[in-house]
Amino acid sequence: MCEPIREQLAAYAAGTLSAAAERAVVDHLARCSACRAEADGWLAVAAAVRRRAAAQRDALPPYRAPLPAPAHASASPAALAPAPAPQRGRLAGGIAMGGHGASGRFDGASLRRWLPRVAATMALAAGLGAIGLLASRAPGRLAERSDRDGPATAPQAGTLAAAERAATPVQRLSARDGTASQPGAGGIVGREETASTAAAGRDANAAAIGRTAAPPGQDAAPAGHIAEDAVVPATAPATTPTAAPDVAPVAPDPGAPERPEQPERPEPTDRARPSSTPVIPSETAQPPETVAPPDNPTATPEAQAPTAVAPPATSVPAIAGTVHDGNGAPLAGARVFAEVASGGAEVVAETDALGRYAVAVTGGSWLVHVEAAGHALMWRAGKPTPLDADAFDAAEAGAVDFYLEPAAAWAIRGRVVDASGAPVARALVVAAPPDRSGGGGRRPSAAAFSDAAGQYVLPVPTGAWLVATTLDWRGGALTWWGGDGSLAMADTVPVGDDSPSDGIDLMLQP
Amino acid sequence: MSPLVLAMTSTAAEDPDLALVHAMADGDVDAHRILYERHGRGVLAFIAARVGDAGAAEELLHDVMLAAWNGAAGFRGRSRVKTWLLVIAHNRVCNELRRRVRLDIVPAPEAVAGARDGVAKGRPGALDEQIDLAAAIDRLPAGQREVLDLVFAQGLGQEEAADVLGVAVGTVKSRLNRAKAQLREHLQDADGAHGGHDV
Repeated sequence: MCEPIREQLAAYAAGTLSAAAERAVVDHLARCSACRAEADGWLAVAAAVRRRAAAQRDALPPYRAPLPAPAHASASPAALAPAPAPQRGRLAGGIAMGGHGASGRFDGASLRRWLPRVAATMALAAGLGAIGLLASRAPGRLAERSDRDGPATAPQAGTLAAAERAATPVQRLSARDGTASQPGAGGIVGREETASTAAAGRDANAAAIGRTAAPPGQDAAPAGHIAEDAVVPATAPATTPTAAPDVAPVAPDPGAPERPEQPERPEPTDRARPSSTPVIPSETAQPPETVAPPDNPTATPEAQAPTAVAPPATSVPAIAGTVHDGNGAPLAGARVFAEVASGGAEVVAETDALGRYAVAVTGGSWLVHVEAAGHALMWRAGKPTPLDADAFDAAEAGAVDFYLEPAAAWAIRGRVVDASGAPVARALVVAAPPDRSGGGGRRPSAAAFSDAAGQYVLPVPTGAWLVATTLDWRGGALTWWGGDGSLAMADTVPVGDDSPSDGIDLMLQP
Repeated sequence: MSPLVLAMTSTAAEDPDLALVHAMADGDVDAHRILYERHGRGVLAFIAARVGDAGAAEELLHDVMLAAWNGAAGFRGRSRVKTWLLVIAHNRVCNELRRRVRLDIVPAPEAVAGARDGVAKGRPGALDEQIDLAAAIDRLPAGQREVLDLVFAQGLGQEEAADVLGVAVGTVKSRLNRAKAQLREHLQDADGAHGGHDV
């Protein structure tokens, strides 16, 4: 019974199983503690290997173009400026470049003949060339950018323009989906509105499920940031799971697949406008510092200044996938939170009618979780709490799909307060089985966040539970309920028919 | 589940990088840069884990990307583009290591220390155990480490990892299992540490 599952555990930990196979594994693990222990081992190995690789991966050297420098140096901003369609921006620039490259380009054979020499001079030339290239291209890229944004923002003023830009990447995705699947299908609408409504509905929704929302500006800004920097070349191909290959238009001829998008643009724009107008404040135009993941130093406002020399180093388009309910059916209206693994920026998206979501992100390592009414919180790869969730590189991940579990029938309720008795928002509250001796059994199996009033609702099955809270789950200590806050002296909370489990108030240790 | 959803959730079928390679074959430098931005880090990590020092890894990465540019027209899409890049990288690394053996060059020790620092920065929680496990991974035979890296850090399927290394899938599986067996005692530490995290 276990053997076929065991053989898949390495792939399960790697996240490379098909959705169906992964589900079978998850189902089995829910029932079989021996396999769960084995799976935990693999997950620990996987996490260690990833950390090790992440330590080595961050310093990507500057891009060196493959052709001799002069071919690029001639690609002046003027050559890039005429980029016609707003959406094509950088991509169109790419084609212009390509054309340029082609005219002065070697055919394969002569290129190969020249290579030894070229390679020798490249070491010297590429360094200089890269600098020259960046210097000559940066203004061009900025020109494209304003080109691209122009039509979208022209009819609107000030803050709205910013809001518009913030909402752009998701709209683009959805427009593409429209061509990919069924133009005008209902599912698309949810997706289009994701960026704006997610920010809009967030405060209301957050209250409903007991979680404090960050200011909407924080959510919207990263998206806007991406929109300005990287949307066109990056989103199109890298949102693999949602974009069919024939409409993922990075390639030789973007004109054909891209153009049909244009007539559709005003429509989503109009639809997004009413909801985004009142919600997204004008600050969205200036990305707050927290937005840029720490390992992406060029993704800062300076990088966009007209004098900038450095190009955006990484352009990771989106974390995208599908959220399913407990029966495996696509779940609409679930909220997907992506946060920089080391803390800070958080981006949110809502699933459309087909359960799809896409969160525009920048490069680096991310944690993603889903919150949906009636379902337990879930972090990527089926983890119920962030304590054992694995961060992953958005660029490396394929579709990030979720199969949510229905929320347990009972709930522990209470407040999280600090030493002075003031409510603490956004504290993580977890419940763990009371077995203090067993290794895996001690691991928390349910999680909730406190809301602005410090209140939390933590769904758990009937039984006895240890409850703990922490503000800093990235390595911070947990404060357990009862006793002196330590696990050793923690009290269990009985949960069931005649055990009211309200008023479990937790005091965070300073 | 509707066929549409199924189609959308199946990731293996379409490779979003394929269009980039086709564009590269047509001389589109921007496509090359996008490919670089998308996979440079991953390939760099793969190379750096083997050659040890950052400078050499950077040079090799450049070689790999140059080779991809030159070979773009010949790419037939039999594997994912990423796998293809890693195959090239693997071969370059093997050449580099052979060259070093010939020239009697050993990797700079600070490269390894640097990797540790990175690990230490990763998550302040269970530091010692992480370093412990990382060190245990360092001590694994190179072949096992390589497989761990391809499967977990690069996210390749086991068949793809086998393609990159030019070995049978069975070899990949057995290396994975042997690596895990060797790491077991550190895993138990890590498990204990995880319990410690709870406490």
